[in-house]
Amino acid sequence: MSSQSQPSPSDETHFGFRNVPLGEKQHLVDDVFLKVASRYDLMNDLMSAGLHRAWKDVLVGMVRPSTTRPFRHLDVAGGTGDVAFRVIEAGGPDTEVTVLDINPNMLSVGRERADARSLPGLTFVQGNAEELHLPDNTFDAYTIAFGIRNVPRIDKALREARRVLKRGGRFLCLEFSMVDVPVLDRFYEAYSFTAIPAIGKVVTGDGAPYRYLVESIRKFPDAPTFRDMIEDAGFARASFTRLTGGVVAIHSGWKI
Amino acid sequence: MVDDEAQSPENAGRRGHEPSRIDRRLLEILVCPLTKNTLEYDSARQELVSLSARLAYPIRDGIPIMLPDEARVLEY
Repeated sequence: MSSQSQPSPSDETHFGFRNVPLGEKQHLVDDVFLKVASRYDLMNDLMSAGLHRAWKDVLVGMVRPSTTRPFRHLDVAGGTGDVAFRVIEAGGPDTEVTVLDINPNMLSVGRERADARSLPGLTFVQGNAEELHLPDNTFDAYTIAFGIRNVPRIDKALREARRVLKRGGRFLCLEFSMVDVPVLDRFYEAYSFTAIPAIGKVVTGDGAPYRYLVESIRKFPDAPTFRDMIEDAGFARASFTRLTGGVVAIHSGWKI
Repeated sequence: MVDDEAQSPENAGRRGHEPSRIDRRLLEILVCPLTKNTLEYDSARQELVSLSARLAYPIRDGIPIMLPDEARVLEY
C-alpha cells in the first residue's frame, strides 16, 4: 500500500544472523510462522521442556485481570491463544481479550482451540503490532509473549502499545533473554544451536525456521538495553524480571 | 462508491461467510490502522471500510484482516 510508510532501501535489520532490508523482514518472519503454526505449541513444549507454560503463568500473574470489574486486555502476537486463554481464566465475567497476530495460520489455530473450549470474551483479529487498528486509551493491559523480537521496528510497536493503553495500563513482554549463569550459558548455547533446529526438523519437517528462531534470540537486545527502549517509548517505571537463569525475561512498563 | 473490479479472490464468494461470528464489541473498537479513524461495517461484503484511508479491510472466516497490504482500494 502506497500510504504505508516505506523504509528506504538502505535501512536494514537482522533476520537471524543475516541482515535484510527492513521492508523484507516481515515477509521472512511470516514465512517462518506459516510453516510452523500447526505444531507451534507442541514445539514450544519440546524446546522449553514445558517451561514456556510456567513462564506464561508468571506473565499472566503479573497482568492480574480484575475479577469484578470490566477488564480489557490486548495480547499481541498471541495467535494460538496461549496467553489469552490464561487471562480469560484468571479474569472475571467482564474480562475481554483481543488476540492480535499478523499471521493468519496462527490465528486459525487459536480460534479453533478457543471454539473447542467455548471460552467467552475472546476476539481474534489479524493486524500489525507496528500499526495497531485500535483506538487510543482502550486497554487495561497489553501482553506480547515471544513476539517482539520478530517485529521489524520494535520502537514503533512499543509506541503503539503505549498509545492503545489506558492511563494506569501496563505493558508486559515475555521474551528470550541472555543467560547470565556460568555453565548454564554454555549448555544453553549448545542446546539451542544444535538441539532446537534438530527437534524442529523432526516435528515440523523443516529445521530452518527454528534456526531463525534461535539466531533471532541471540540478536535480541539484553534486558537492560530493552528496558531502556521501553522507557524511550514513553513508559514509566520500566523494569524486568529474569526467569530460569535469564533464559527469558518479563519486561514491564506503565502508562501514566 | 466502491470499485467492484478490485475485489480479491477471497471475497468473490468461494465459500459462505459467517457474519454471526464477528464480535460486535470488536467491531465497535476497531479503527483504521493508518488513519486511526472509525470504520464502517459492510455486512454484505464482509468488509470494514475506512473512508479516510479509502481502504476496505476484508473479514475472512470472522477474523478482520486489519492490514493495509490486504485491503481493497476504494475508488470514488
